[in-house]
Amino acid sequence: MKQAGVETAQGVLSDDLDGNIAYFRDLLHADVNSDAHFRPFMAGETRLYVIYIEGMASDQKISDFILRACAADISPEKTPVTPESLMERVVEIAQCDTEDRVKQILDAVVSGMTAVLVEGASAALILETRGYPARPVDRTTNESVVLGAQEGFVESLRTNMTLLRRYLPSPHLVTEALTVGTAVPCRLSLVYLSGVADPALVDRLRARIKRVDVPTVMGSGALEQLIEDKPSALLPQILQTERPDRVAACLADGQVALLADNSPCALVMPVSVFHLLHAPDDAFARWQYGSFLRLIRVAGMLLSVFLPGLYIAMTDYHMHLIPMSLLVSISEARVNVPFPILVEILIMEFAFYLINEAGTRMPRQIGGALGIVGALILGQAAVAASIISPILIIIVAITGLGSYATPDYSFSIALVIYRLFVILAGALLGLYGICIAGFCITASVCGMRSLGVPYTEPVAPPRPHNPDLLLRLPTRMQRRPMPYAVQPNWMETHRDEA
Amino acid sequence: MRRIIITLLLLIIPALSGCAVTGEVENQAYALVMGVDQTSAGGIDLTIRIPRIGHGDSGGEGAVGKGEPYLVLTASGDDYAQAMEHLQWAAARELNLSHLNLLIVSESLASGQDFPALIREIADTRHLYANAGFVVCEGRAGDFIEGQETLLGSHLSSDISAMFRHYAAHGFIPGATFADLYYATLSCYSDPTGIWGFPDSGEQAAAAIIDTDEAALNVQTKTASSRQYLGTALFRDGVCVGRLDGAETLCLNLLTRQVAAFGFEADGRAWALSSTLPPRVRARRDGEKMIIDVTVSLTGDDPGDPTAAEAAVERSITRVVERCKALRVEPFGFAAKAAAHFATLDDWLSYDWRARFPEADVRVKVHIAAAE
Amino acid sequence: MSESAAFASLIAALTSRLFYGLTLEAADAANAGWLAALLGLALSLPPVWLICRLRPPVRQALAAPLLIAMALDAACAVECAAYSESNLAFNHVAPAFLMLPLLAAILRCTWLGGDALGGAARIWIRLFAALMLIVMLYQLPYYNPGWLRPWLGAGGGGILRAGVRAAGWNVLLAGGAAGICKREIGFKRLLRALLVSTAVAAGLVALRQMMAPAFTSEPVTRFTRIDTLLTNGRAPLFLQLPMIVAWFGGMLHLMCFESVAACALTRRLLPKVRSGVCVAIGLLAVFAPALLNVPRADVTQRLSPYLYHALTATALTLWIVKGGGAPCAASS
Repeated sequence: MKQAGVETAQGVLSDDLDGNIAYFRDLLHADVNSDAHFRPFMAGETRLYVIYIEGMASDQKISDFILRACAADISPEKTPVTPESLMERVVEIAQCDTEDRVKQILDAVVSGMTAVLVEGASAALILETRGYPARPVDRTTNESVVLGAQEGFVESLRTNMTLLRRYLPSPHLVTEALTVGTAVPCRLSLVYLSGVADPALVDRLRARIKRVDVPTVMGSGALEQLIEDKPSALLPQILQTERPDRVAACLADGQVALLADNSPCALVMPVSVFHLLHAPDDAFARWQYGSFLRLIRVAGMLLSVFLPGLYIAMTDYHMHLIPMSLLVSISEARVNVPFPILVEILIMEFAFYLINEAGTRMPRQIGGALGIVGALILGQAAVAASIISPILIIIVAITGLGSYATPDYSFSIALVIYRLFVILAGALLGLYGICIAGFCITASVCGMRSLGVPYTEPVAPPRPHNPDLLLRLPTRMQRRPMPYAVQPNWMETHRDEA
Repeated sequence: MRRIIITLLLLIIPALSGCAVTGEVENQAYALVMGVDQTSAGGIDLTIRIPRIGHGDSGGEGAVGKGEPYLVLTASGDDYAQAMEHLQWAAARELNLSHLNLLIVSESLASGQDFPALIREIADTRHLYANAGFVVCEGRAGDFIEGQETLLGSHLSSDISAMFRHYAAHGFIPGATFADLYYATLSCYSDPTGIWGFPDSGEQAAAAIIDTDEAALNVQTKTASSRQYLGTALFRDGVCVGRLDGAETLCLNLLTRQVAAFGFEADGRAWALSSTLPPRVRARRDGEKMIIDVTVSLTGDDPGDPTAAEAAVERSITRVVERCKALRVEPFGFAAKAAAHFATLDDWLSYDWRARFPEADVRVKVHIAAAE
Repeated sequence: MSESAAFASLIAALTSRLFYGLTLEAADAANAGWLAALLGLALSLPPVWLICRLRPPVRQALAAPLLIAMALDAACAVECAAYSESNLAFNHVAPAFLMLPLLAAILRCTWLGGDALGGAARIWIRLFAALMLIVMLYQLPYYNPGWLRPWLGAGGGGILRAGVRAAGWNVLLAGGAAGICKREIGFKRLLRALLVSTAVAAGLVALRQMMAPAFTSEPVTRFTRIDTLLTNGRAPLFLQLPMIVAWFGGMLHLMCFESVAACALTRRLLPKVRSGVCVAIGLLAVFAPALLNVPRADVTQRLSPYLYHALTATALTLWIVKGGGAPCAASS
């Protein structure tokens, strides 16, 4: 073996089989590692070793297509045993390759592939034998839709890529393999439609991934934080979705997606704030329904940000804006409440999100108890004990509903933080404060970028776009260029021809 | 460094802006009605009516049988500002006038020469958003407020609003708000009006309603309320100089806006009329004299010949115009039309419309069309 | 700042400046304020054209007077917004304290940069239109077109005085927009912005004048003008909500535009100084007069009607002395 360091696993194989095996044993800590297997066997007169990780590689595939094939087919007279000859004539596994770099062999083995080392050969045969347990493709859990496809991504990168290929069976679909993480690499797949996605955007994303300098990356959520434009911004600048149909639609619009191994979500970029307002099934509903539902959703989101702030501003500073009969009702309800409205709102907001968070974490079997706690203790009992006023429960309930109507989970959490900002502004400065807060939020959002593209595009800066931002107008009007795609591109050419 | 500066600023702002001094909604005394009177010593009496908060009976539907849902407070002072200050003390809560529905002024005060100054002073009151109806009442405004009963058993605010909407739609009262009075007093257009209020004490009410020569326009009411709002108080230069009764107010309203429905008797026949369009007013200038052509379009339910009815309505309206001319007030909104014949406000002011209105030739034409 | 961002920001800021100026500061035209807005447009076109035609090195000399005027005007806007809020809900708080949140917002948005402000302006224009639509629909029964008569209001003198003030704001903000952009902003684009802003502002001034008549029997205080504008009393009270949002939103855009412009002009004046320092100087130029109540000072009140004269005279002098003739990028 040529010079190689154990820690860095660099270098290439030598033609000394025992030396190579010893090196790999060392690298994989085989003396203590119970699932790292080094299986010697003979093919004719030639010694071979199969290296694999138990559980990650399929025992059955190794037995049937490597060991048995080698035992049956090898006769030293007609077949010299080399990795190349094994690949060409013996092994019955479709995906296989030869590799002489130690690091690549090691990465392949730990990811579930099997390495076959041959005596006298300075290269190994890498065979696709991955057979680790994986969740089957199932319904999405966080992005449910009424209309449209129901299946979602799973934790297997391969399966996810297959799903995307199914939605976009085009030769232009590129799935570029990348890794991220300097110590324990995570496999990524950079997906885009060649000839549609702007090469500058693809290059920019590739460069950002290359710049990531962390030992390991655990899934797409962690990766998102490493490659986004402005980590200090509240709003997500990358769309995380578990829906392959949504990713496929984005790819067709010229966006770029990133799939990470062990992550059931794809990262899509660049995105605008309008993408985060859209639900996956908007495109599947007729335009009237889509527009109507989208308006309801946007109104809900605006209410979820501004309603508690407006309530506190109006009840503390601008009472004349509340109808007298409602004002009297609010006053009556608040007479025995010992806290100022600000504290009352903050208590309820905290309680609401505590229930929310508890509901997310607690086992499903005792989920019913949470309803009792929420409805009875924090609702009815708190009102009866005059800790909060009934009107506030209505306000918080509407706010919560608006928050849940937000299609994107990260976006909804950002809205909650904005809501707290607006509540404080309203409590301190009334409508004046809310105007200032609203202005600052708008300016911040307009100052954001996603993969270098303005976050509020195509409204600000203005670009020609389809009438599909807040309202979704008829499909016959949706003939404008795709905002992120390279111009001209083959998708548009085909559409124009059609 | 940048973050430190921003954080410091954010921390300083709440402390400096005095934002902690907020008035919680339940700690306010919301005046729904305010009465202004002049004391015998020349001072000002202020009376307000506020809902009682915290007794579960602040004028709501469930208030029946739980005692008086409102409080009436009175305070006096040498002038309006002092009386308001005393009222603040009497209220024992932060007095909030932002929901004032009704501002009631006694006739004697409204007729005094100091009333225009008082209007300005009231308009400058903090938190008076001036979207209140403006009423001139017989006797003391304080007594008038104390005698005010709720009609429908709901909140006083909605009670009064509903009643005024109803009366105004049918032309029994002018659509007068305090803001209208204030603006008209300070500007150079038509004169303002007020709603006329009086205690419902039988004969007096009837006299106020049926005060025309022929009783051509009759408005008859019968309600459980001991307070009536019917008719118009007329102002000249911010001072109350006279009043119109219910029938005359209807004529005034026919010249200024649409009136929903009203009954009318002419030639022994009863007509149910309504104005479908606002009146058409055109002003022409003939030398120094202004000629005002007014066309009132009405719809009647009687398919018969409307000529007699048209003539009778015209006579009634003309009589009201003549009455206003005699009082030298112009509450009809003709000024805005006449002003179009002048280039600048100075020209218009030097023409002195209020002084010349009695010489103006107002020609009223009434059309009654049968409803289809 | 990109050209399109400057364009949107200029429209949002100038509309607000003209409306608030003609209703509160320069109400000389009485009920003919909308005519004053149109006159202001006509008067402002020659100096704006002149500024556009000045060669860039020559235009550099205009940066100093523009910066002083811009900073003072921004301070006026800050003072006016704080004063109106004090009037509405915080009369127990000194207006100077109410300026602090505004200044914090300006600081934040200036740091975000001109493009963020331009983007926000583009969204604001849409929101503003929706708010005004709501207000107009509800105020419709209360509009009294008769109060626009006599058509010439306070007469030629009053309209001219108000028109000259409006022209001054037009020249100032258009000049600021010319100095704010990375690329040259053309006269045609500035003209479009001036036309749109003037048309909207004139319409709003006319609508406001149909809600409250010209007061002729006594001098009107700023307090009364704000009251007639935001509370009015003739229309439903809840309309104050969209009115307040429209009022403060517009004012915020005006303040931020002028602050960003002040920073950009400081950068032009001091090209060798680091941009962060220029921003600090520009913001200080806005904040200091606002907090020291310079806008209410007697000398400021006396000088403010001469903004148009000063800017026009400077541009003309530069044209004559140093020569112009270089057309703007977009107008060439």
